[in-house]
Amino acid sequence: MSLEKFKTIKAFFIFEKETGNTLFTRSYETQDTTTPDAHLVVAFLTAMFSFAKSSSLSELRVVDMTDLRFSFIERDDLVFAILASPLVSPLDLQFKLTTITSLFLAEYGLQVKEMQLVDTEVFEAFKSHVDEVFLGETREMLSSSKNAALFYLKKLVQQNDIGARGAMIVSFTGDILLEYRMDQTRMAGAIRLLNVSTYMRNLRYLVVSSEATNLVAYKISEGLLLYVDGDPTSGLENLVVKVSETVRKVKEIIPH
Amino acid sequence: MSKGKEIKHILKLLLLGDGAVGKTSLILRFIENRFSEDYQMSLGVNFLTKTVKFIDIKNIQRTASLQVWDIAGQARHVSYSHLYLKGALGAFYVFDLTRRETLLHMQERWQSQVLKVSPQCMSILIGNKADLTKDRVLSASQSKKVQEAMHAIDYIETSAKTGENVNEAFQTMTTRILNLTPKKFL
Ligand SMILES: Nc1nc2c(ncn2[C@@H]2O[C@H](COP(=O)(O)OP(=O)(O)OP(=O)(O)O)[C@@H](O)[C@H]2O)c(=O)[nH]1
Ligand SMILES: [Mg+2]
Repeated sequence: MSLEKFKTIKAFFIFEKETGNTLFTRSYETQDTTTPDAHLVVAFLTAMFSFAKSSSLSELRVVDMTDLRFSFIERDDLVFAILASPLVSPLDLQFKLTTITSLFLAEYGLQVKEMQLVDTEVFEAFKSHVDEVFLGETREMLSSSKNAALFYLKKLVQQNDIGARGAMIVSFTGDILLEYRMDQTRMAGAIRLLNVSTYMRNLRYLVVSSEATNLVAYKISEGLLLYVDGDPTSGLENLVVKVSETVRKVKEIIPH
Repeated sequence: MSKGKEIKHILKLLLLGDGAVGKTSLILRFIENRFSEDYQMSLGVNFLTKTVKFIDIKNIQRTASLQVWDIAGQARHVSYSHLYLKGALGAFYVFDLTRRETLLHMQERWQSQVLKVSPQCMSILIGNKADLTKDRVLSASQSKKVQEAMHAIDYIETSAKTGENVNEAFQTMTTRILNLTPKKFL
């Protein structure tokens, strides 16, 4: 299965909240054709802001549509917005968007305040930063570690008696680092679950049992989780034990 | 040196350390003078600014605009960390006095990353949650050994909850970076 849909960022914009003047745009080529025109997006978002004028947008907001996930944040009268595929983890978008916003304001904040007319040339150098963040990983894992970990994931899923149907390793923000036979819908659900864990200190593991799945999320090491999608007709306890054994093996191959 | 002279500085400072040691809390105490018992993991990297004023020993009024960066504990393996670590003049390495493991790997985990991109960056080691005296598991002498190994200019015990030593830590960092002797903070 392709992870593309879980990773695709389509475009990034910075514009003035009041006027809709665009300071910065960056679009990425994607396989599908749903990236809308920059002017349309900014027009849409400014219209939305004028509706919601009184409400503060300093917290991150996410708006979902069928083919798109908008995620935006407001700081110093500027709006920073990402357009992504709807399967990209909202937490990962938040991490990247917050970081980019900070980088931009630290670098150009004063300049923007003093600017009479928007001169987009000024921000040209920021493009490489934006690319590095969006194409980068919030939780980097060496490719040699990935290969070795995938071997253990396969082994776990191929054990017939425990009902593990698929497994994946994700960052604490829900960025999928590697995956073996995971069902796409349950992957999307599992990523959503991470929202809960950001309110907990030192999460060890999380188990969700439903008619559709026995889902186990187990902490591997800092910022890394192993997710296993178990068949709900198999025993949950046995699954958790086997998952913890796999985690122990994966831990050994990840440098600290 | 004439009296009434004023000089301004802008300083980028970092707070680093494992998750839930109290970095965000220390910054909120320092900048907004508030504290919350609730924990919410920081997602992404943020900065806040605060201006500190003081008069140095030569009677020059100094204004330092501190750009204080809150580096999420979970962000240790971010592939683009050099973007926000660079240009830092000072770093606070924060650990939790009630959790031994938060002090153990400070140098390899955090300081080495910072020094790679900001080699001149000055270090201060912070033992936070000093108010939790009953739960404390680390002694000052254990911390000082780490301070020495890290070549940190100071080791300070703080409490974001009570405010103990929080301003002092930032004042020490500011005056040491500027290599000034403060006479009075304003
Ligand atoms: N008693 C006590 N609790 C503190 C102190 N400082 C922070 N805390 C608590 O410790 C928890 C974690 O604090 P945060 O400031 O969010 O920790 P952090 O280092 O920013 O964590 P990350 O964002 O995950 O890196 C919160 O519940 C705080 O209320 C302190 O000095 N004393
Ligand atoms: Mg924090």
